[in-house]
Amino acid sequence: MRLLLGIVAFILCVLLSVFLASKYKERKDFYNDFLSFNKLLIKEVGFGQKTLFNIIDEMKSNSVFLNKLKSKFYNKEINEDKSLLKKDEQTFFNEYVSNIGTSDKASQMEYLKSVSEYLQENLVITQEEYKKYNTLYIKMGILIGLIVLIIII
Amino acid sequence: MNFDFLPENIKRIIEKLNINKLTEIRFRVGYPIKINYNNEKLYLLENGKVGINGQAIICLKDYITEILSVITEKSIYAYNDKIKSGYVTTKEGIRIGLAGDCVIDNGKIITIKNINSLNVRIPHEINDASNGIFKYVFSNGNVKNTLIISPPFYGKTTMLKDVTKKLNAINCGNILLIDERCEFSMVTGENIDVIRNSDKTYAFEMGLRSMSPEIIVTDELCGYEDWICVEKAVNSGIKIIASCHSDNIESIKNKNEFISGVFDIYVLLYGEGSPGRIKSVYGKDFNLICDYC
Repeated sequence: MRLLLGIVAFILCVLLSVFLASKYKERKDFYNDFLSFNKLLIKEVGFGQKTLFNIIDEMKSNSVFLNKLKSKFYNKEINEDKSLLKKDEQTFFNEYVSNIGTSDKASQMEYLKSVSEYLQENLVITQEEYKKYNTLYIKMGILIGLIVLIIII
Repeated sequence: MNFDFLPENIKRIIEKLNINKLTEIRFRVGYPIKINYNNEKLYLLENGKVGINGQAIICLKDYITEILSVITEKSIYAYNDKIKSGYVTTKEGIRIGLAGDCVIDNGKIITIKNINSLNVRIPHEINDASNGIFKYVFSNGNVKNTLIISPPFYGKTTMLKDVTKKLNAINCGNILLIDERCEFSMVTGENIDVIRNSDKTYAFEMGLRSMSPEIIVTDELCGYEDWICVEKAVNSGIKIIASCHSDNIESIKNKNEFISGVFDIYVLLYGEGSPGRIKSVYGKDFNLICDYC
């Protein structure tokens, strides 16, 4: 019975660590998608004539970034993880969504290119955070799980 | 008519007006918003009315941004070709002229930025607006090559729309409507083919080759290329109904691009904001056919 309880506790600890680490994966994916969207927009503004509605509607993924973008762009409330972005990152994202499509082609291109650099930097940071904390949380989860297991047994 | 592209406070006032009497709304950043209503220039007032006296609503930069954002579906860059031509058109054919700083690259205008003025021109469908000129356009069973002449705002486009509808109704041949600025969105018919959003050079060439028109209707001949297109079409046996900016017959003749012998009749309009009033009709050799008819 104690062994069973210990194993359950171990599994819970590992799951908790995976859950805590997932935030870093989501942040990394968010910036990856954000950067890809910005690149797509640079291409569309430069050569295409698709409207933002068309571009966004054609994107089929169910990523956190796309859901967040759609919610902001269409002014629709969604259940989102408010802790995913830091306060200044959230402000930047809001400004980005309200700035895209609102200026002439030349200014828009200039803006999108200037944003690229920021997004690239954030992607690198979130990738490093992911590498660092993902392994750390999971290792800690396993370790704590083992300790709990030993204590219980 | 749908005015959803206007800011809410402006839209509320406009929707209370008789749209048939409204021809223009002008936005200039920092200045009162003006309308042309029943041939009078009036202000939109803070109290929700229109008039000459009272606290006028001042046009904010945000109004311009909002209007452009709605019309371009939050994608101004996607409408760049139109913007650099100085206008955008709503789905209902409301043409919005715009002015700002032209951005030039390699000697070509690539866009207009800092847009600070908008001119919203309200199109009108006036049935039988062309009654006065139709007997000249279509006489003895033949369509005459016709040029409708007037300064801006005298109803050339309204005339052309009605002439096109009448020609369609009498089944006098295939009509190609070259709608460069999407102002003829309501004009359709069993004999009418429409090329929209294209410059005249391409539309004439493509239309002649592929649509075999017997009549071509087009608005605002402007520049040598347009006149050459018309001349080529006339020489191919196609009838042309067109319009052109000018305030008298002499200045038409003096235009550098003018090509004589292309049109059979010239119709000069008068009366700002009141379409269908003919000042004079001239024949091929500029002989006066009728005056104030």
